[in-house]
Amino acid sequence: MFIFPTLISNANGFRLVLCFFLRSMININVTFTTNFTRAMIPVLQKSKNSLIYMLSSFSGIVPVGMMPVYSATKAYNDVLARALAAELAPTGVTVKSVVPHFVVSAMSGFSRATWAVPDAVSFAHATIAKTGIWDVSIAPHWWHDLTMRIASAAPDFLIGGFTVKQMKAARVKLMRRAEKKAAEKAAAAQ
Amino acid sequence: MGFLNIAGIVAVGVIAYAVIKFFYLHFIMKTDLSKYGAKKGAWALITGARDGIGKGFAVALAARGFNVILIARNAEGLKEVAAEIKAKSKVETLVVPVDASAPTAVAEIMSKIEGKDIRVLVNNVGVNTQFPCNLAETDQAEIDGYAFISISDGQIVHLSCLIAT
Repeated sequence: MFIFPTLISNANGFRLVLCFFLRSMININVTFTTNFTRAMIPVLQKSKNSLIYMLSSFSGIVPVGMMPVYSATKAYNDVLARALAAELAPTGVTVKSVVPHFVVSAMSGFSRATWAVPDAVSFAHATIAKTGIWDVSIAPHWWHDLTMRIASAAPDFLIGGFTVKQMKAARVKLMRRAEKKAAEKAAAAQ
Repeated sequence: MGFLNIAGIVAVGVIAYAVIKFFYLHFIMKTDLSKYGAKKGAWALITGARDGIGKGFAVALAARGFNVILIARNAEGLKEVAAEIKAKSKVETLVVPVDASAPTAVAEIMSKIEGKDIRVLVNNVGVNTQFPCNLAETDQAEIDGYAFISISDGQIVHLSCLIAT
C-alpha cells in the first residue's frame, strides 16, 4: 500500500487531495529522522570514522510561506544536525547538514537539469566533495549557496514577500499539471 | 590607528574570508571518503532511496566504492535502483522496504541491517505537501488525517480517508 498525493474526481469535477498530511510530514521529517538517527549512532560509533548526512532544505534556512510546516521541519533537521555535530565530533562521527534548493526530483517537480537545478547524482557528488569543510551546514551547489547567503542577509519582509509570490505561482503551475495528468489518466481509463 | 581603520580592516577580512571560502568550497575542494571506508567494504545506508536526492546519493556513494543499503516504501522500485547501481558499480546492495511513517519502522530497519559495517548514513527521507498551501487554508482533516490509496498497475483501486482522533 502506498500513500500517494493525487486528485479524485467527483460530481463537481476534480478535487485535490493532499495526501501527505501535515501530521505524516512531521512524523517522517522529524520523528522518524530523530528516532532512526538515535538508533544508528551506536552502529556508526563502532568504526573510527563515520559520517551522517542530514537532508535539510533552502526553506529550512530561509523560511518559505505557503509551506510553513515543511520549512519548520527542515529547520529542525538543520539544527539537529548542527547540535549533533558538536555532540558526536569527539567520537569520530562527522555530521553534515545538506541544504539543497531545487534539484531534479519528483518532490521539486523539476524533471530536467539546468545550470541552477542540478540532477540528483551530481548534487550528491558535489555534497561528497565538500564533506571536509569545517561548516556543518553546506549548500553543495554554488548557486543555491549564493542565493541562500543573499536571502539570509536581506530583511525578512523582502524575502517573505518574494517567496510567497513564488510559491503562489508554483501552486498554480503544479495544480494545472496535476489536473492535466489526472484528466489524461481518466481519459485513458475510459 | 583610529576606530574606522580597525573597523575597515575587520570588514575587509570578513568579506575576504567569505569570498575565499566560497571559491575554495565550490571550485577547489574535493573530499574523498576513503577515511570512511570507501572501497574497503564499508556500507552506506540511504533512506528515501527510491528516487530524487536519495537515489542520487545511493548512486554517487556506490560509484565511490560503498556497498549500499537502500530504504524506501516501494520494494519493486528499490530493486530497480539496486539493479541500476549494480550495472554501474561493483558493490553489494541490500534493499529494505519500510514505510518511515510506520511506528515500527526503526525496529524493522535495525533488525535487517544487523552486523553490517555501516559508516555513512544519509538521512534523506522526507515528504512535502503536493502543492504549496497557506496554513490557515489547510483543512483540519488534512492536518490530522491519513489517506490510504491502494494502487495496482497504476490504477487507483481503493481510496479512503481516515480522521485520526
